[in-house]
Amino acid sequence: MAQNDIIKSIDGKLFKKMCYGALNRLKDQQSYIDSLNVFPVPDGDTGTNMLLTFQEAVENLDQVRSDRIDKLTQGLSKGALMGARGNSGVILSQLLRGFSEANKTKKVMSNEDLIKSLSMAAKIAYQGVLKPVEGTILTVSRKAAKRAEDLKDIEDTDKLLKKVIESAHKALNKTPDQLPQLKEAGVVDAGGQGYLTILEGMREGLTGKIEVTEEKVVKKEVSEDEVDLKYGYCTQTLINVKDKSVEIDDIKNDIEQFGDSLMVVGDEEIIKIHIHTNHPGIILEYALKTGSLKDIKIDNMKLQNAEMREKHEMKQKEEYEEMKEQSTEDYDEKLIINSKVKDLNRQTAIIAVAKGKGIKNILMELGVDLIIDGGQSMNPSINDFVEAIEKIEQDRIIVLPNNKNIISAAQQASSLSDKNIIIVETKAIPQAIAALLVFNDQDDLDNIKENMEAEIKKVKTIEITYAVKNSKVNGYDIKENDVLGLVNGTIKAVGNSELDVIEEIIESDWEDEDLITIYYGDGASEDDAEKIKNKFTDKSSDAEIEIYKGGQPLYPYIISLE
Amino acid sequence: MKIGILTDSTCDLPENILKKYEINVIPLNVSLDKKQYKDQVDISSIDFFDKIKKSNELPTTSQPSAGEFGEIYSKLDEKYDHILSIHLSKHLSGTIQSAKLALQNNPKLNVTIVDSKSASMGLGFLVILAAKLLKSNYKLEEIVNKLKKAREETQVFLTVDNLSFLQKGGRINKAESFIGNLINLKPILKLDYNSTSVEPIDKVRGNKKTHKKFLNYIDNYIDKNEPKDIYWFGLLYGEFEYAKEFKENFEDHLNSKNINYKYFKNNVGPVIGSHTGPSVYGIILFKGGKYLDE
Repeated sequence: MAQNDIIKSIDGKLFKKMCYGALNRLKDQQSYIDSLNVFPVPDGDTGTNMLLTFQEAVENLDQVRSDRIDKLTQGLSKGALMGARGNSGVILSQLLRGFSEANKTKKVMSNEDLIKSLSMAAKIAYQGVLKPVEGTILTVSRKAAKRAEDLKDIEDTDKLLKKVIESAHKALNKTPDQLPQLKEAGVVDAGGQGYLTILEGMREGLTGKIEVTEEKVVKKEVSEDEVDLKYGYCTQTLINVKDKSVEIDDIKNDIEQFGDSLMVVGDEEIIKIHIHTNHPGIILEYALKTGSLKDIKIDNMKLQNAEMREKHEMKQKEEYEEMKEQSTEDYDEKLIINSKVKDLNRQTAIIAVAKGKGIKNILMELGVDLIIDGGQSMNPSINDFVEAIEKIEQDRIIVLPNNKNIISAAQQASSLSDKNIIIVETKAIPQAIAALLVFNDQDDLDNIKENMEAEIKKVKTIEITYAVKNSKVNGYDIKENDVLGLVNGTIKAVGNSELDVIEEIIESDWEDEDLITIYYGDGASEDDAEKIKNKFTDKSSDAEIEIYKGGQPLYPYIISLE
Repeated sequence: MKIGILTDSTCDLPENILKKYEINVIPLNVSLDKKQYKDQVDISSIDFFDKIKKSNELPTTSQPSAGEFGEIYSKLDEKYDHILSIHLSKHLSGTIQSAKLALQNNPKLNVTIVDSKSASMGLGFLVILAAKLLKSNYKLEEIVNKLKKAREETQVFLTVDNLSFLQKGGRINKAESFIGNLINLKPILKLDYNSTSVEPIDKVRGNKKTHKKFLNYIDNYIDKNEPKDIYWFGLLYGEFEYAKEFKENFEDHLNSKNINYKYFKNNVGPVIGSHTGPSVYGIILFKGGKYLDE
């Protein structure tokens, strides 16, 4: 680039390139940003949430039929708002709203507008957070904006961005000094890193340093190298079901131990099984017990090349989605409407976020009108909430987010609706169950909220999960795959076995409780849950203990004490 | 004037009390597996719950007929100058309607009908109060007035393991009866002066919490501004094993209160049991002493 060729302002075309650049950078850095999460629990994946949010923002940007900056920043902002997932996604959407606010009526973004955009971004992001914490994405955005304010004399947009990015980077590196948790874990703030990544990506898009393709969907890269296949045979069959009471989930449970990439779909009459396994024979024998077989297909995947494998997987996924749409009862659907409650003609509807068939069923039995599929590591977007709210006939709605990282998306969605929506800030499923027991349809919404929140305080939640990475938190030196025991969201025990961890929590955190409920999830059985029950009975022989199959992923046990 | 008391078999008072106070009882009817029984006459609670468990059907109940009322009124008419006829809430049964019909058929009868607005021992306590007032030589009009006041403060709370009996019998409203069976939920039901049905007022998980709720209702019922010796408490149950643990808590709790009280316990009869199932237990709160001089 010649010296006199410098960029002095950003037009629509350039802005789009900047956004694509940011999206690509974010895609590259997704796992890295995820790895910065201090909490090693499978939750709050900042990189994933920011990427998904920004991706929807860019998709919406592409829908804008104009090259004007005001329209484009507005499109980007609106897309981010609807797609925002998790706390980091919601803050990102606020930052992008700042860009839109700063460029109202602008055809082209001058350097001055860019500086204003950065300031406005930080300002709106701070406003959107109830209790702003320093040492986070907020700080990074503020420091970047502050630096930009001093750069009004710079003509070269690239140079301006470069200096802003330097400051953002500096601010990011200081986050461990501001937040002790970060220091202990030896990481910088994940959200702050995400913002820096976006700014860097924008700069790359601006100067055209990278090849920017106008591809809308970010595709996970598939390694071309020889993949080490754990399971060698792709095995598929259709079953003409003879016993109509067969449950898809039971089949899943029965055969998941024999492989991976398991898909079981269908209805009362026909079920399709797809699995990668080393024992196709066992799978077929099992299927035979359920009914007669047709369209049996077994492929040796080791003989397929990477491209074929990818094609095959794509096709499988399509077929699966298709059959899933047809099957009547599918608990993985994004939104499930509870038809039983509909007949009651209630004034107030309840929306809850949950994962796992057992837990969803319990919530619906307790009167939830609509369930949004999601939870740990699967944070629904603002748009998911908006859709759910639109599906509800009533004007009075209670929302139970059931996860601390989902509350903000629920709040944003509620502010976008004209309906009367109350968010009861449940952070775990047991809190939702307790809250539902005091629900009174006829009561004033504020009273309902107050009563529900009073119940939430009476419940203690223990969650057992596995560390997704090495980390240092609360004085624990955690290694990947360690068993983690959380009490009300705080890590209270780390160990090698679920039983030991639970025992440790019982010993350290015991209060006399009236009722203990164990919801066991994927990877745990009723027998395992019984063993845990015994641990509690050892502590207190007259404890009242109930066991339910929750079916939730990632958390083998969710236990409530109340 | 010699006054006789008639109540119905849903008062759930034990035999010795009925005898002691010369209380006459007209039975309701219960039918199971196509057989008809006179409540508490042809069949005891224990036998009845055994039969329910073995049967695939749910029992049905019916009020005494106007003819049966007419018969018993005529018989009592020979013995007494006036009959005080105290019964199960008209919102829960057609018993009072039958009684009124009997009076229409035979206008010469001297009968005053009082709706207890309650059931089981909620009715039973009102009947005992009437008998005590009678013994203290109160006039009919005074007795009826006191009963009408006392029934305003009668409260019955009960719980069941599942609502199927109440639902099938139609004694509970459908929207209110929506409750999960997947998770072990105990509904708490209330019957008081204003109830037009047995109303679910709370949902509780686990027995211990249910007990705490009940004890809490007692605490709320005891009024510091009233004399300490006016309270009558009742414990009702279907099969005793369901109430066993609660009985201890209940009695300990009452003892811990700085009050004097009367305490009755009894199992519900087959008719009440038909609508609650064997798992029922509950408490009756009553301020009987407020209306007596003793």
